[in-house]
Amino acid sequence: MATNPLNSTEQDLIEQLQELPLKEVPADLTDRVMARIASPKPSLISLVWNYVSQSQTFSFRPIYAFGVALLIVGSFVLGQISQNKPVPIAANTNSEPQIQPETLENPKSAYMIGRGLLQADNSEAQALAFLRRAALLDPQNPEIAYKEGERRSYLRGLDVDPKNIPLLINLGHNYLSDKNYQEALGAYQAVLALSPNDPVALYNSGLIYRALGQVPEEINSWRSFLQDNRMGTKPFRAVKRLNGYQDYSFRTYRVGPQKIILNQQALLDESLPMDIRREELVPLALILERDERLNLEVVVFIENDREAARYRALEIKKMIVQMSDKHIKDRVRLSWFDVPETMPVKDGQPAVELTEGLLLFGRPMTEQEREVSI
Amino acid sequence: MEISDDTLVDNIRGGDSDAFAVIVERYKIQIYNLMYRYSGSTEDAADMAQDVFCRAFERLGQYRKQHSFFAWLYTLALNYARDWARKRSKREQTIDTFAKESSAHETTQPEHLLEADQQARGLIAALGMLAEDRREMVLLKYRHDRSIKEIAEIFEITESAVKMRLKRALDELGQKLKN
Repeated sequence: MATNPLNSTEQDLIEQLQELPLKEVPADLTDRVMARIASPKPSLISLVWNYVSQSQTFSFRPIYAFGVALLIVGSFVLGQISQNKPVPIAANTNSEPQIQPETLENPKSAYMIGRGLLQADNSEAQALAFLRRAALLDPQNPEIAYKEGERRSYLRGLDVDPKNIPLLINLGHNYLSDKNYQEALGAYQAVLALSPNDPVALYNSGLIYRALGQVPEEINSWRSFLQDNRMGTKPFRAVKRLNGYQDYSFRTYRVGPQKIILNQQALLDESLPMDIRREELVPLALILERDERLNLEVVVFIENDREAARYRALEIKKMIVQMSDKHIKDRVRLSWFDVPETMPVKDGQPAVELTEGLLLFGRPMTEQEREVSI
Repeated sequence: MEISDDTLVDNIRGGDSDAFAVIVERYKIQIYNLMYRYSGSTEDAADMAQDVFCRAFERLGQYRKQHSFFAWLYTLALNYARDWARKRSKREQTIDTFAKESSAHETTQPEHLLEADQQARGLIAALGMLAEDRREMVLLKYRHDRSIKEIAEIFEITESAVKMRLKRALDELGQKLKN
């Protein structure tokens, strides 16, 4: 029986680390850095030097001193007046509010204004601005109000345009963030009825089915999601979840420095058209083209049928080689076995055996092989 | 073909300051996330990352090519973050905040919501419990895919010491996750 040479616990932990979510960098960070570089602040030393190096003249006139004193007192009085002045909330909610959300520092005020505007027609946008401000100032309290406002805004939009996919997606997100799974699922399913391959709706449906414990539906969602999505963190998570249910229709392979996802089921299914299978192998051909010092090992397992395993292995090699202009024929190595493939599992769990399995991995070319290939 | 860091540095030193934008783009994820781990605030992290890049630009003359540019930049960032945290005297608190805010932040991105609950939260919390150096080493190696040599340069230890510490950190992480 063949076994994959993987220390499952450590490998699992490393994979989790590799997929650890990172904070999204503010979109304008580079611009801000470059703006600062373009107009550097003068250093304190240069400011002091500029000051002392210039000739300075001082003169004192009582009228100037009086003027400065008047300015200070006047500023103080004006400040007092502005502090005591009541906040001018718009009496007519259809008109523009007289205060801007950014100027408010009191979360309760922002919240109350937002709620007030929400009651009025055609004021959702303004209301949301105030509720967002409230949420920013006090993230704990106004969150629900903010979400309510957001939800109501989406629902009103959908009344006008029930097939608006961005609105449906946002509505689903809104429900999901409240763990309102059924409502969220309804919104995502509505998206999928309009756009069956929408990656966000497919992925989030998978998450919801997982949370609800509906395993067959969850598996279907991951499979559908993975048909067209292989890049980024989410597809790798989807594969991991599928594999966690011992569904190895999709698998993750590390080939050289890259980790890729392939549809194993499609690659081993002779009844599928060649085009579909060839498409699956495109990333492998590209990796081999880019890294000329890499060998690809293709290992096919088919229980009790050595000849079929050999045939599939040869077929996979043929498809990869045909796709590449470069001479990669010698760098694709084949093995085939008439035994099931044993999958790595976590400690204490029973071994999983695949009656048909495809194992792929990259191996750096040895010096000897390099000389031969030259 | 990707332009090497050293070529970019040469261009910047030669007066092409726009080339620095490529460097910022290349390393902003690592630097911003490092700052976030120390500050626990997205706004502070953005300001800190800006400061780090500007400081790196000003000190580019001190960079020597026999070292990795990333290691040089990351060392500068790490020192900045440590100073910042020392001034705030809130390191313990910010590590906690890191775990809490990470999950709180996910609520605004629902597609991550459940995952944060189910998968990442435990790992983030366990990472928060590691010694600072070990945590950073683990993230540099496995999350940011940096070489052992670069990590050794950043922490000023030998490559074999890095490997040993990584091994211990993984064991410790695994243990904490089990518990």
